[in-house]
Amino acid sequence: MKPDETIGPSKPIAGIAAGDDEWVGRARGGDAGAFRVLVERYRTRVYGLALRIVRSPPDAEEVAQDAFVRGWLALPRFRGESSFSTWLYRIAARCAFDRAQALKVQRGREAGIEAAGEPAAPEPAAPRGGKARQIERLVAELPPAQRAAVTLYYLEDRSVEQVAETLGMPENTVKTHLSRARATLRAAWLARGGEPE
Amino acid sequence: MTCDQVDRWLDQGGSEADAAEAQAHATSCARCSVALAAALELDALLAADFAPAPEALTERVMARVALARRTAWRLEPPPFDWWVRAAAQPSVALALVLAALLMWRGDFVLGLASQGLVWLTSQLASAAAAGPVTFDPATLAALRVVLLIAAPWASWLLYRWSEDFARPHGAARGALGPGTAGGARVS
Repeated sequence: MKPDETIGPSKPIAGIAAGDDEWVGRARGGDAGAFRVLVERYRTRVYGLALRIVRSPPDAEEVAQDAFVRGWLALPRFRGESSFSTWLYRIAARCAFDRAQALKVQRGREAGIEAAGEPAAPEPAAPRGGKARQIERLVAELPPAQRAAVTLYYLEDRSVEQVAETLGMPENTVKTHLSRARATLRAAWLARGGEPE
Repeated sequence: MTCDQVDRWLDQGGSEADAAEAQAHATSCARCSVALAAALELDALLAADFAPAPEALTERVMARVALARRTAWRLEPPPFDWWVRAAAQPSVALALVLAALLMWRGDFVLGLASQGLVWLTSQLASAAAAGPVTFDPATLAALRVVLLIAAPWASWLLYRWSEDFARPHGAARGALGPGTAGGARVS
């Protein structure tokens, strides 16, 4: 058992990779219909990852589109050394970090270098529960690397190893990001009155 | 287990024994009970609650996929380990040769480099009809270091340039490199 599994009550993404191989194989061969299945399967997670990194729904959608299109173009070179989801999240995370950096530069130009900061907190893309909005706000206040680590940790079935692979970071760095993010989130959650149910 | 240790467990995780101890502590400590409940709730929310993607995302992606043309050039990377591929790079080979020469016949190589510099200096000096240019030992050492760095770098540039001969028009650069093995280096 992985040490971190003791914290959470559930295993959220279990079974999502099951059955990917067939669709990935067909999509590699140029079957757009098979790729559509993969897009349907991963759209929420890719979009969610992008949203948590770029923090703006329109930009997150563009990042998700870019990630899928790049995935489609690069699929012939996908050799299955990692799972398809890890590979796709890596592309999405890279796209999102690039976009976040570009947005930061753009905002820096617009507002002057001194005032350059992080993008504004996102407006919810759809009506969601109060706690969901609250958690999104809290996650949005984390530094980008912690946001990405926390998000990928749950996308990757709580595997620090896969998060490290996706982000291209050492495992210990990911653990540090996760630990700091958890401490920050928990303190903020309690301070903002997010009373446990 | 103390409250601090519970906090550390909540942030960093731990073994099943740690979890049992933390939960036992939380039953008798109001502060840790609240912290544990908050951590569990946060865990569940973070895991379950991703913002829904826009409805039209799939259609937009597929429209772009239909327009995107995959490049026909698909030279699979050779089925060697990364270190074999890295060792096969001309820059690495040149660096290894230089390093080996420096270790085996360091005096000879440095002497040769010094003579070359002296010759170059004299040529430059005579060309400029000026007195001979002299380098102090520190500059000479710096030049040697630069030479050691520049030679592999130039070799790498030459290698990348040579890729153009094998790369069909429109194909991405670097597809032969070791970093593309997983297919995730998309540019």
